[in-house]
Amino acid sequence: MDSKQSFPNRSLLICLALVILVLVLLFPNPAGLSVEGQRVIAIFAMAIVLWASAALPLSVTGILVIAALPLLGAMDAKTSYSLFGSPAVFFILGAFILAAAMMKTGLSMRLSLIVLKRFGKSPAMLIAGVLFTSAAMAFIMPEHAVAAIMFPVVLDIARALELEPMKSKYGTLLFLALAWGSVIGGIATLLGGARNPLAIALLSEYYGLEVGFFQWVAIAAPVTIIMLVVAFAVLILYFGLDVSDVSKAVSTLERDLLAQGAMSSDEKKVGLVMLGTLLLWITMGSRLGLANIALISSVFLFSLGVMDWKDVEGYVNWGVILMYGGAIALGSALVSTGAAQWLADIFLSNLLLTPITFLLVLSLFSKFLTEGISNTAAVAIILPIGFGIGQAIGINPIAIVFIVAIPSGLAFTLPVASPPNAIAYSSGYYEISDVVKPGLILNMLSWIVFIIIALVYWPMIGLNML
Amino acid sequence: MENIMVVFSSTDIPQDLIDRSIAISKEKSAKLIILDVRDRGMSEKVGELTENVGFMGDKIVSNLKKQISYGRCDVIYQKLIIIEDAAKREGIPYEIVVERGPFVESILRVAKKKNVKIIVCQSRESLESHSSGFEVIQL
Repeated sequence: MDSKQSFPNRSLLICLALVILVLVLLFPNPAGLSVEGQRVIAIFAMAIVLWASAALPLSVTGILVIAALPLLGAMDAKTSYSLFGSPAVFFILGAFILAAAMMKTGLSMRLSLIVLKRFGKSPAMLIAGVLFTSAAMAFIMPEHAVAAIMFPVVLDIARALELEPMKSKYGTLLFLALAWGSVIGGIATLLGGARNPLAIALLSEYYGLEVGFFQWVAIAAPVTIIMLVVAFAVLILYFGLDVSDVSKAVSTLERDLLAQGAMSSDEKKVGLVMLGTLLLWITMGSRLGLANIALISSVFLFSLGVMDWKDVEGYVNWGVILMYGGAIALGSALVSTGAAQWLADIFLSNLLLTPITFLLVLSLFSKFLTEGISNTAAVAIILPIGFGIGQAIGINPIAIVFIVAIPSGLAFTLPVASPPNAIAYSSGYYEISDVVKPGLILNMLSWIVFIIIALVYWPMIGLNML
Repeated sequence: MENIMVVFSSTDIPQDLIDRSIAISKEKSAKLIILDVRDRGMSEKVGELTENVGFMGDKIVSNLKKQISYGRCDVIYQKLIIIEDAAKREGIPYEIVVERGPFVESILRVAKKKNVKIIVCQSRESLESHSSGFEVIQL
């Protein structure tokens, strides 16, 4: 598992990205593509190499994109830099601050323990509990944060049950349930993964269309619900249970919950703010704006004395703004210069796509690309081209958002694919080779579930492919 | 008295590695050096991924890194007790050495320092190309 390339590899990849940039720029301007469009494609190709390889931190590539657009004359500086101010970026920032408040006050840990404790009736139920609790927490906070919170809890359970790393199947089950639950929960709302707001921001930039908080949940949540059941079945059937009694784990959870003490006033304040924010997002999100609600709620947390600026600095990585600002600017430039449409025409001239094959190919491609690169990068790379191709064959752009964003969030196998997978793997309870087969099985099953939902359920709630 | 070294690098410490190193030490009436090379890289790598890809702040990442290191150390510690007990039972003199750093370099450094004659380790951890002055038994 390599989150960061070694220095020689990194330098080589950065050089490769720059060489690709220069080569595309020097290439004679093809018919049907504007000079500005060619420059944007050069920057896009460079960004693909850097985002996919993580040769530079994702956020640094975001900065490079923002600066390269005006530098190479693909977009004027004022427009390029203004895209940092996208509402989606500030929605993500507000959501991260709300999550930070839940972590700081211990509310997120308390909620996890309360829910998890109720599942400890049998070994299978406890696995279901870890899976469900991780998913449920990822409905209201980033899946990466959920995995980080749940990791010590699951580690305590494994210790209490005296599970032997690399030998205990139950140990593997517990940590995979943590990772897979976080991943599956992360697709259900706009809060589970920042790629979800990124996808709707790109939709807004391209088409001026909006997807509300509730609309996202209505479209994506059924995939989450079915996948939780499927993941549970894969875990139990593939690994089996080699533990018969989990009463020691329940005692540990009870002890951990007792150690949390009585609910503090700060926890209550955060709980109320979070609840109010969720209600506003669901009922008045489109009227008031998701980002505005998120930011006002963050201000509330400061006003109530729950958070100070140091907390925000400690819990939120500001690189998030740079990454998403860069991705939105690049997506916007691809459309405004006609580059996305030109790229789509190339794909379409080589592929005979119908709406169904578009759904199958794009979702499968998103699914497997996200196993190798960050899921945010996968959305940033695939969605602009997906919009171009979809437009040419008349696909509903809102459907395209979900065809890319949902499969991009469902990476179950490799640690590099998603921090929850990496965090679970770091427990030392299993090797990567142990999860390749069940991970691939779950990947394929999740793709099938997604396709069925898209073809059967989406039309029922008014989301048609065409 | 000869020194024999058994090497561990992960949370997986196979029983046959323990049995084999104890048997060789007993046969040769040698002192057993139990070397545990701690993998600092794991918590660092996961921390970097969580920070750069998950955009989590420093507080979350540092706490996560501590938890990972703590969890792995705890598991390895439990395993070391098993080897220690086995050595005690067989009356074999032993010494536990904990090293942090690159795997092969750490082994070579300790082997030289402790004048080790035989190194017992897992097959995937190849030392053949570096072996000079000691025999490598890989399981």
